[in-house]
Amino acid sequence: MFLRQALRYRWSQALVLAGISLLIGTCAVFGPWFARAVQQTVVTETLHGQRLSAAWQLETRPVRNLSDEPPKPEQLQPLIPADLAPLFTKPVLGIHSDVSWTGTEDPIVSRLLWRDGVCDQVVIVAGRCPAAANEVLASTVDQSTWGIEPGQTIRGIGEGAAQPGVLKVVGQYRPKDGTADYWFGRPPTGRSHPPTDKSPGETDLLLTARPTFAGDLWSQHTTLDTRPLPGVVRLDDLDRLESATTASQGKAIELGADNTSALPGVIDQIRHERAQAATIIPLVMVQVALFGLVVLALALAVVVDQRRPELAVARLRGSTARRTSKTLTVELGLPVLIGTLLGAPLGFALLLIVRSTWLRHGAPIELPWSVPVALVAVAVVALGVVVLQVRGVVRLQIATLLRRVAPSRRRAIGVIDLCIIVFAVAGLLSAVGGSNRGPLPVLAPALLALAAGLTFAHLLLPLAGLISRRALRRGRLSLALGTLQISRRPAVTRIVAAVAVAASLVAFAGQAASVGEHNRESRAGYETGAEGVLKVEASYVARFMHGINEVDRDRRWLTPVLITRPPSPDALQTVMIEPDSFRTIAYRGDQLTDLDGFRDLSAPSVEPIEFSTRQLTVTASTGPIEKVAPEVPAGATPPVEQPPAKSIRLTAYVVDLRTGARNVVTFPPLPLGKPPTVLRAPLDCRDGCRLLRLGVSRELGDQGGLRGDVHIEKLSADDQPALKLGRPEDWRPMQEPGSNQDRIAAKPGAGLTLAVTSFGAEQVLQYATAPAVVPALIAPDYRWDPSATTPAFDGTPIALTKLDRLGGPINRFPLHSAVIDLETGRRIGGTVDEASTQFELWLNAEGVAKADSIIAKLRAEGLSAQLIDQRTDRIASYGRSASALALQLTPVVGIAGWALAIVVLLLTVVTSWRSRAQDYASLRITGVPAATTGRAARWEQTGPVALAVLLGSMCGVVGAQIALPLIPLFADAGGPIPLELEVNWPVAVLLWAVSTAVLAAVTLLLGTGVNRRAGFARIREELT
Amino acid sequence: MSGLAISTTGLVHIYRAHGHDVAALSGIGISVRPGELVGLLGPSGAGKSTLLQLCGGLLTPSAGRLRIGEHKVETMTEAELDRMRAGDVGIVLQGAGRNLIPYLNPIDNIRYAQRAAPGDRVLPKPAEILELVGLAAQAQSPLTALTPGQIQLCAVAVGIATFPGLLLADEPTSQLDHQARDEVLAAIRKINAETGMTVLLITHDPEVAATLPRTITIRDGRIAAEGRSGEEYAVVASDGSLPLPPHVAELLPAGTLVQVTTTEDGVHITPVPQEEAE
Repeated sequence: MFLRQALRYRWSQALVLAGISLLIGTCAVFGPWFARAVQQTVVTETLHGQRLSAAWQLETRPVRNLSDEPPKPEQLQPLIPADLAPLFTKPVLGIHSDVSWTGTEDPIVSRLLWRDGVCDQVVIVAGRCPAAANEVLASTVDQSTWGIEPGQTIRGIGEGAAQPGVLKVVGQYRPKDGTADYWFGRPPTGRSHPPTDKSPGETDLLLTARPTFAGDLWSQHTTLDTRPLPGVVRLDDLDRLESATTASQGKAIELGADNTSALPGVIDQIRHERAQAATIIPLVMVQVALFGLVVLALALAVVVDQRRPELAVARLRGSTARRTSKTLTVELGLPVLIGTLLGAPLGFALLLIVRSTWLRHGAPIELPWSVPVALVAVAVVALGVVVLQVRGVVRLQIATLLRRVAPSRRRAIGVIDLCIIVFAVAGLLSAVGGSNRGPLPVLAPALLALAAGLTFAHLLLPLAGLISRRALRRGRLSLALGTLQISRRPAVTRIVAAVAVAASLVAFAGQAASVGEHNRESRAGYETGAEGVLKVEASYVARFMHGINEVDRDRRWLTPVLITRPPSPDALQTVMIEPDSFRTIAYRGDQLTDLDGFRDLSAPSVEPIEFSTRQLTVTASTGPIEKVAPEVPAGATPPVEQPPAKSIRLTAYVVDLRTGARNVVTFPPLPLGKPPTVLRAPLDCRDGCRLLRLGVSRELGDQGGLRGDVHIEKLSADDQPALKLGRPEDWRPMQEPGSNQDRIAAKPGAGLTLAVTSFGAEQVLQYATAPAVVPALIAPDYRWDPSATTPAFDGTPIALTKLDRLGGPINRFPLHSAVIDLETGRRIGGTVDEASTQFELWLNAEGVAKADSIIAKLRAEGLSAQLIDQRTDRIASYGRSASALALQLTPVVGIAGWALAIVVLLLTVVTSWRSRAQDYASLRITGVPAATTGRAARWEQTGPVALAVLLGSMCGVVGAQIALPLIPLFADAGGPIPLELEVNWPVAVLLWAVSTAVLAAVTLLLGTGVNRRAGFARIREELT
Repeated sequence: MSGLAISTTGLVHIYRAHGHDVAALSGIGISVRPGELVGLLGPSGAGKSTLLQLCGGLLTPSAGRLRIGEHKVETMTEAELDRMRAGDVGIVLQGAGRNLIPYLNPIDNIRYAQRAAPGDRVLPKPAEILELVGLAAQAQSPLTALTPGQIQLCAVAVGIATFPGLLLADEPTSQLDHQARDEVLAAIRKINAETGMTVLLITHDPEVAATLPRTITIRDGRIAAEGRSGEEYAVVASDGSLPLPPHVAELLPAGTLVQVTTTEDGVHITPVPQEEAE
C-alpha cells in the first residue's frame, strides 16, 4: 500500500539504490562467471597452444620377427575410450619404416611413410599419388639432392629386414604446410642432404600407399595420432582425460606400443592456471562488491535518515516499530533487490562481451553453480544492509524521530567508525605480516584507504573549523564559508572515506594492470632471450660464423649464441655469447653484467699463432736435467724407485680453423741433455690451424722424476719457417687431473723455455689466446664449486672462474648455465657434437622484421634457419594466461571505483542540497555576494575530495606494494627471473590526476548547482 | 467513539540537557472531561508541548499519574502506546507538513493514518473526514497544490482519521493568516461538537484562546491559571500551593513573607512588613 507512490516520489533515490545494487549484483555474478570462463578459456588456449604436448601419439615398435603379423593402426584405436572419443580429433593412422638404400656409394637413409590421406596434405607437382604397393612419392628436394625422378626405382632395405625391396617413384610432392595439425610434428622436412663426415645422406619422406606395408618386406612402426579438441574439451573433462591418458599408456605397452603424450603435464599446468584465476578474479570482484556494499550502506543511511519525518508520522498514527520498519524495508529493499537481481543479466551481458573480446569465444556459455549462489548471497547481504539501516532508525523514539536534526556526536569518532578503522588496520597488519595468499593482501589497498580515509576525515572536521575561523578573521569569506560547511557536516567523513577507497581501488587497479603487463613483457623477454630467436642448423662453428658475418657483419640485427649441453642435467651448460653484440641485441643484454664484466668475459686480445701445414717441425733441446723423487707425505709408504728418465715428448694442440677440431700433435721423443734436435710430426692443416697449447709428456713406462728446462728454439710450419711463439707469460699452465707434483711453466730464455718437473703425467701450457681458466657468469641456481667445468663444443670440460658480476637472470637459459665468450669457446675448439650443441641467432626487433631476409641469406650461405621463438609470441601467450585475463578486470575495478565515488557525491548532494542551499540563501540575505557563496559551494566538497583522492591514491600505491607480491602473476615461479614489482609512477600519477579531475569536476558541478538553487524562496521551505 | 477524559496528578517530566536534569513539568495536575475543548497556554518553554507529548504517549512521565480515558499512560508499554495512538488519541504536530506524507494526497494521507487502527474499530470513511474539515473538494489534490490553511486542515483531518477520543493539537493555527486560522479553528470546533471528541490544543494566540471555553495556562512546568469563559482563575495545586497571577507576583517578589488569613469575605494574603519580619 502506497509503495508505488513512495517509489515514484523519490524515484531518483530508488534509482541510485538500484544502480548501486546493480553494480554489486553484477560484480557478484560476473566474478564467478568470468572466473569459470577464464578457466575454460585457459583449457582451450592451452590445448590449442600445446597441441603436440597434448596429443596422443601412439607408436608401436617393429616386431622382432618380420614374419610375425605387425599390429595394424586400427588396433590402436580402442585405446581411446569410447566416451572420450568425441573429445579427440579424428585419429590419423600411419605406418612408417626407416629404409637404408642399397647399391649406392654413399650411405643414404629414408623414411618410408604412409599416413591416412597423406596425398591431400602435400602438393603433387609431378606424377600421381601412390596407389599400389611399393609406389612412392618423392620430395622435390630429393630431385635436386639425389636426382630422384618419377619412374625411377630405389632399392632399399628396411630395419632388420633380410632382403632389400624396390620402391618405384610415381610422382613428386612439395610439402604444403608442415605445421598443419595433420602431421603431429612429423611433417616432410623439405630438406635432404648428402652424407657428411658425421652423418649419412638423408632424403625427405618417401610417401607411399598402405599396401606397401601389407607384406613383410618393410619393418613397421604403426602410429595413431590424435589430440584433444580445443573448444570441445572442457574443465570437467580434464580429470577423465588425465586418467584415460595414464590408462592408455599402460594398455599401449600390452600392444607393444608407446603413448608419448604429455597431456597429464599439460593438464597439470591448466590446474595451476585455474588456481590463479580462482584466486585473482573473485578477490578483485569481491573488493568492488564490498566497496559497493559499503556505499550502499552509506546511501541507505542517508536515505533512511531522510525518511525520519515519515517514520515519525507512521509511528504517530500508531504503526508499531516493526510494521514501520517492514514498510520502509519493502520500499527500500525493492529497488535494492531489483538492482541486485538485474545484476545477473547485466553480468551475463558483460560476460558475453568479454567472451567475444578478451576470451575470443574460448569459453562455452554455461551457468556454474557459483553464479546463482553468489547472486543469492549478495542479494541477502544487500537486503540485510537495508534491514540493519532501517531498524537502527525506526527503533528511535518518536520524539527523537520528530527532531529536525538527528542527534549526533559531531567531531567524535563513532563506535562504528572506530570499529572500521580497527578492523581495517588489523586486516592490513595481517596482510603485511601473514604469509598466506588469502583475501586480505588483495584487500590491502581498500583496507588501508578505509583506515587512512576515516582517520583523515575525522581530523578534517576540526581542522576545517580552525581554518574557517582563521579565514574569517582574515576576511577570506569564501574559504571561511566553505571550510565552515565542511566542519559542520559529519557526512564529509563518509565522502572522504568513500572517495579515498575509490581512489585507492583505481590506483591499485592501475598498478596491478601495469605491473602485471610489465612483468609479462620482461619475463617474455628473458625467456626468449631477445626479440626473436633463429635456430640454425649447422655443424661447424666457423661456417656458422662465416654465414652470419656475411648476413650481418656489423651486428645490427643479430647476435650469435651457442649452447652446449652436458650429459648430466645437474651439470652446467655452456652459453657462448658475443659480448659486444649481446649487449645491444639481446633483451636487456646490457644488464647481464656491467662493462667490466663484459670486458672480463671477452677473449684476450692476443695475436693468435696460426699456420697452414702438413707437418709441424720443432727444434728443441733440454738444459741440465736433475733427477728428482716425488715428495712423500709423512708416514706414507715411499713409492718404488723409478729408473732415470729417458726422454720427454713434446705435444702441440692445434685447432682446425675450418672444422674446429682440436688435434693433438705428438712429436718424437726428445733425448735429454743433447744438442738441439729437429723433431717432425705430420698434421693435416691445409685449411689452417691455430696453436692452442704446448705440452710435455713422457714415453710409455718412463716415469722417472726429472726437473729441468726444455728449450723450444723454433716451431715451423709449411707456410712459416718460424712461428712467433709469443712471450713466456702468454703461456699458462693448465691443471691436469692426477698431476699433483708435475709442474710446467714458461720462463724467459731463447725461443720458448719451459721449466718442467715431470713424473710421467702430461703437462700442458695454453697460449693466451684462450685463458687456461675461462671467466664465466654462472647462473645463480648453480651451487658454485671452483672445480666446476662446462662443456666445450666437443663436450670436453672447460675450467671456469666465476665472475661475480651477474647483473640479472641469464637470458633464455637462466638455470644451470655458464656464460662464456663465444670467441674463447672457438679458440678452445672442439668438434661440434651436434646432439648437444645448439646454434642460435638472437634478433633484435629490426632483426625480427627482417627475419625472412636473414633466413634467405643464411640459406644462401648453406645454413638452414628457422624462427623458433619470438618475444611478442610469448607476450601474447602470457597475455592469454589466467593471470593476465584475470588482471584485465582491473580497469573494470577502476571504473567501478569512480562510479561508486560519484554515486556517493551525488547522494550526498541529493540529500543535503536543500539545507545547503538554504544556508547560502540565508547568507545572501545578509549581503554576502552570490559569487562568494558560489565559490564556497563549489569548494566545500572539492577540497576534501581532492585531498581524499590524493590520500586514496597513495594508499592504493602502498597497498599494491603489499598485495602484488602475493598475487600470482604467473603459473610458475619463473626460476631466477625476478618479479619487477616497483611502483609504476607514471601510471600512479596519471590515475591520481584523472581521479582528481573526474571527481573534482563532479563536485564543482554539483556545488554550482547547489549555489544556483540558493534563492531566497528556499528559506521558507520545509526540510523534507 | 466518545471523548476521553484526561487526568493528571503530580505529573513530572524531567529530561537531560547538557549534563543536567531539567524539569519540564513539575507536578501538573489537571482534569479534562470527555468532550471538552481545552486550550493550553503559556510562554515558550513552559512545558505545554511536553504535556501534549506525554498525553500522546510520545514521552514517558518521570513521575506522577496520567490517565487518558482508561489508559494509565505511565505504565503502558510501547506496544500499548502504539495501540492507543492507533485508535484513541490523534495528534497534530506543530508545522502542518510534519503530519503528512508528502507524496500522498489528502484522502490517501487519511487512509495512511487509518492503517494501524485496531481491526475491530469501525473507521470513518476518509471522504467523511474531509467533508467534516471542509476539504472534500481537495481530496485528490496533491499537497503541493493546497494552501497553507488547507494543509493545516488536512493535518487536522489526518489527526482525526480514526475518530479518536482525544485530539491533541500543537499550535494548529500558527503561521496562518486570520481567515485560515478561523477556518482551522472552526473545523476543530466542529469536530469537537459533532463527534464529542476531547480536544486539547496549544495556542499562543490570545484571540484563539479567547474563543475557547476553557484554557489552562502553564508556566515553569506548573499550572499557572485556568480560564473559563473569558475569566482567569488561579488554581490551587494538590499540595496546596497557589501560583500567583503575574501582576500579583510583581508585588510579592520571591522570598516575601505573607500572612494568609481567612475572613468572611474570603482568603486574604497580606505581606508582612520587612522590619516586622526581622
